[in-house]
Amino acid sequence: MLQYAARRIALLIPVLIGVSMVSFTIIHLIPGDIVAVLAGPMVASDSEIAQNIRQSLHLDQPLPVQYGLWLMGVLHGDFGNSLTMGLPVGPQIAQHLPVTLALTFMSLTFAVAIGLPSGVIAATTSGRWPDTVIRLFALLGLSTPAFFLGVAAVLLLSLYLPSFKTHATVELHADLFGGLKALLLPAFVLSLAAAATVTRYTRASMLEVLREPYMATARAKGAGRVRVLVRHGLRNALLPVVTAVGVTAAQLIAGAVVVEQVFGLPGVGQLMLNAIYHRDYTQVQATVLVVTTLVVLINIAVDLSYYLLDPRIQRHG
Amino acid sequence: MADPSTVMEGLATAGLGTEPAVPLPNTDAARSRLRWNVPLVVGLAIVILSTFLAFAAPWLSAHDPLEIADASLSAPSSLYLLGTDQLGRDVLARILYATRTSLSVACLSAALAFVSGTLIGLVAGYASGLVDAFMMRLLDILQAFPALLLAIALVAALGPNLPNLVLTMGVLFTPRFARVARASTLSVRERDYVVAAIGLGVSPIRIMFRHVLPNIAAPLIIEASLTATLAILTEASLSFLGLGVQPPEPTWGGMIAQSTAVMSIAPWLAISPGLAVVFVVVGFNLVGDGLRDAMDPRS
Repeated sequence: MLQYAARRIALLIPVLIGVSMVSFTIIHLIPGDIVAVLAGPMVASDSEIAQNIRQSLHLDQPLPVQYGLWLMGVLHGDFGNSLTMGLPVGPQIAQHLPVTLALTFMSLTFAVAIGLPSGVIAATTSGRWPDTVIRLFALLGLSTPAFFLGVAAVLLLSLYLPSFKTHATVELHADLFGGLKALLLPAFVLSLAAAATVTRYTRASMLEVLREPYMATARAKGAGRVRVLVRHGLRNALLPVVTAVGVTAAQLIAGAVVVEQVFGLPGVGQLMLNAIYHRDYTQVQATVLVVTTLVVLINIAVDLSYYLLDPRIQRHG
Repeated sequence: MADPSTVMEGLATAGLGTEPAVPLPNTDAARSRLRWNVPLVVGLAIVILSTFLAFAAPWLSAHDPLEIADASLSAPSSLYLLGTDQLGRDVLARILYATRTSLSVACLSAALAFVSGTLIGLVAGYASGLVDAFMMRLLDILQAFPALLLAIALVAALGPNLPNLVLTMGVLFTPRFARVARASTLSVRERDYVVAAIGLGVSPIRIMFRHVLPNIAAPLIIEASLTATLAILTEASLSFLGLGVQPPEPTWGGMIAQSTAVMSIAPWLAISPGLAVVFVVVGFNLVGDGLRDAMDPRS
């Protein structure tokens, strides 16, 4: 196990270096003179503000040196200073991250809670009406942008259930329970596309397992229907579903950025979009880097969980 | 002797043998499945209809999408079928013109990703070894990013306009095609006809384009329709955040974002562009699903 984990984690290093390079590059994609864009049109290029920007981004150095200096800072927890507020951007991210993570994990839970049973029901009723209905909903779930669902939910609730607060303030550190309660609706809205993905993976994987001879054997030896489905079927069908969860985790974090905007939630999405509107690209850069690193780590966790779930990998891997 | 695959197919349609024991060679079977493929037919109908609406927008809409009329926030009526927005612009005309923008971004970026991804996958899969390993690691890096998050950052830095949207999304979707192309190339290059071509001294480039490419086209086309759905959803999200094609040009996401301020008094503003997105994306998804069912003998 340790050897396998060590090898997977070693493979991570080049990916993370690449991710940091791409994140670093974002700021250099700005067309024209970066300083003029960042400082705004009112600032002369030889003014103090412009000089400060040049200095804080090390723009007087060659590009590889700039990258090196930036990366050294990042590795020491210094993501640079906000170009608009002058404050370090690291603590800003730390402050906004809990809301996004809570939102993501809640929706992941909803997605599995909805998708897993739906997939199993669809597979066992394959070709009959429950299967058709579930597949139709999965198709709609995959085809509806989360922000539209959010807007529609807010609209319907404001028309028919005006007492429901769709835009509650979320302060997780002050009121954890109240904050999580306020995240329920956004998390549900965000989860539907992921639930559709989980449904599809579960259905496909369960259909394969249902054809296996050991399912017939289990039934023949007299095990009950539910026991056969869960103990013999679902257990073996679960592995591709874990893949689905890994795939959707990345989608959910990115989706959270948009859904936060619909419900006015103070997560990293709001932080990043505000930074974009204020042309605060060091903040944007750092947010992309931190969130992507998190996604990479989640995927590694999913990878390692295969190892724990499937003894066959342990033998060969 | 009758072709075994048609016999099996006959049994399957008669409801006798539900699943052939051996995976069928997918040509004959695929053809007969294509014929009765409801998702594919419905999906293609939706895609063709929305493409037609996008092209014919100037002739179909009774009003100019940018024309500001003295009738702001009027409810759907016979004059304005889907009502008007805050500035009195016709919502139906704006939805039709937004379809143009959305489909152009989606199709151009999917096409860009298709070409670049296929080239990369073809070369990586055919060359294998170090070239393959290097290219795949580069794609790993690109795929490590949540696509929408990187799209937001890149479009914000480059500037939100149509060419930049196409370029950003085209690059972000490239790994999807590269992986599919590489995997298929790896299996095709072991086939007898490729080995024979190598033996005859055919140049690698000619082998890749004349012998490998036509035989890996099917999975790439499936990927293209699924990427188109992703591109439409991404464009909608970006324009919702104000990072799409800029106003006054209408976009679905932009229309929904603008509607939130006056939603409770003018719900039609939010609902109709949203349904337009869902309609078109369902169409592309059905095409992808239908093609996959037809190509994959197991489903």
